Amino acid sequence: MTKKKAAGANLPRTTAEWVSLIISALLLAGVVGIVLALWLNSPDSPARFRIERGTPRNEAGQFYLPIKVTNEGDTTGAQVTIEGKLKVNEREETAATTFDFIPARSSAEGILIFIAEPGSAEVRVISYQQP
Amino acid sequence: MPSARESAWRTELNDLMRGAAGAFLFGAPFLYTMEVWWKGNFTSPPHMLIVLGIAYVALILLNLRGGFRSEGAHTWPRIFTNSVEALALAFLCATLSLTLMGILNFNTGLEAMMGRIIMEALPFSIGVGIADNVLLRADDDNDSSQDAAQHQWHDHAWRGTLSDAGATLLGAVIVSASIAPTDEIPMIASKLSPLRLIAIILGSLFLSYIIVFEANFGAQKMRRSQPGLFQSPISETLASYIISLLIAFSMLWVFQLIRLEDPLSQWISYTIVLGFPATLGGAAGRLAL
Repeated sequence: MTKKKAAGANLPRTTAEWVSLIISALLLAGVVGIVLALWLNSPDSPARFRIERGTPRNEAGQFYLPIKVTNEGDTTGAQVTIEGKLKVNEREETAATTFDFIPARSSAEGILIFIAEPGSAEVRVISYQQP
Repeated sequence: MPSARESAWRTELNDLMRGAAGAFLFGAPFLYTMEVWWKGNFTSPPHMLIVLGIAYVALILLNLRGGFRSEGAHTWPRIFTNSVEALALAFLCATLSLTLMGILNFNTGLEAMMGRIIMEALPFSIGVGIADNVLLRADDDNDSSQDAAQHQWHDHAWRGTLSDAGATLLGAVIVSASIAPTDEIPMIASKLSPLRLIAIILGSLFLSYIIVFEANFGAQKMRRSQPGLFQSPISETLASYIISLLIAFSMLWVFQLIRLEDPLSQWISYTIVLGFPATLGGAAGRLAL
């Protein structure tokens, strides 16, 4: 490949060196390609959350309600706070949890704990921060 | 005698292993710093490209004097291509270790995933860039007179064993003392399944092995001929892993991350998680000796 240079020039590449160079170049091209694609396809819509509820389980008289929060926007939400409100027989209770980060297009899971059966609970994101 | 073709593949494998060893030696403390992967959560794509560019430029500068290949790069095209390989290697090591620690998973969106890997790949690529300087030094002094001197020093088997054990201990203490009191240990350990823990044990053993035996190709023969418990590669790797685990455990106890009343599973998982960087430190300690 390279012409002979002054003393100290490298030996010609061996097959093994070619193989690792080609694999490395392809890998990096892939990485840069993905990042460029992310860049071009980022409409930069703000964070938007969707909450899925799981089936509550009863643990010693308390109800553990699993929730899965998905960020459907293109920006990360920090300190995403979820609050569950439940009103049963004039008695109101709330349960809350906070996720440090929910990056764009990713999801996080947590549990809200209620004393009463949380079937009719209203669960929503009440706040988040822009990092 | 191995054919030229076979030895070319062997050299290439050794070079890549040396690069990976350097990456982990330098990168492990960054792997155990949650802020590095947190920043990856909200790194924008243009910023990711800049970080990749910085890593590449840093590698070019490091490849002028070091790099990860035993042959060294004397021409500009070679410096550029070596840096491409080094960056790819760093990226692979970062991806592998983040996956092993459970920091990358299916719930992570693509952008956050790339952000975390690229932020982590920056310190890893510096590690690849200095691999020769850290791991290949012994190449220069493996002539026979040095060998003889080493033999005299390690005349008695027990003395050789003790000095290797002491070096492992010292290296493991230096690395694990700075990581043990941080929140990352419970954070990472709490997410790991038993299968993951076993994978981390195997990864620790493998890295410890390649750092001392594969990466340090020049001094390999010398180390093998040294008497003591640490003479065979497998027993040395195992013995140093056990020492590193003990150090990791005592550091966790000193910093009160594990207490007597805590469950056994917590003792085990914390120790294995801290044992990973401790083993790397131990292997580096034996090299520095």
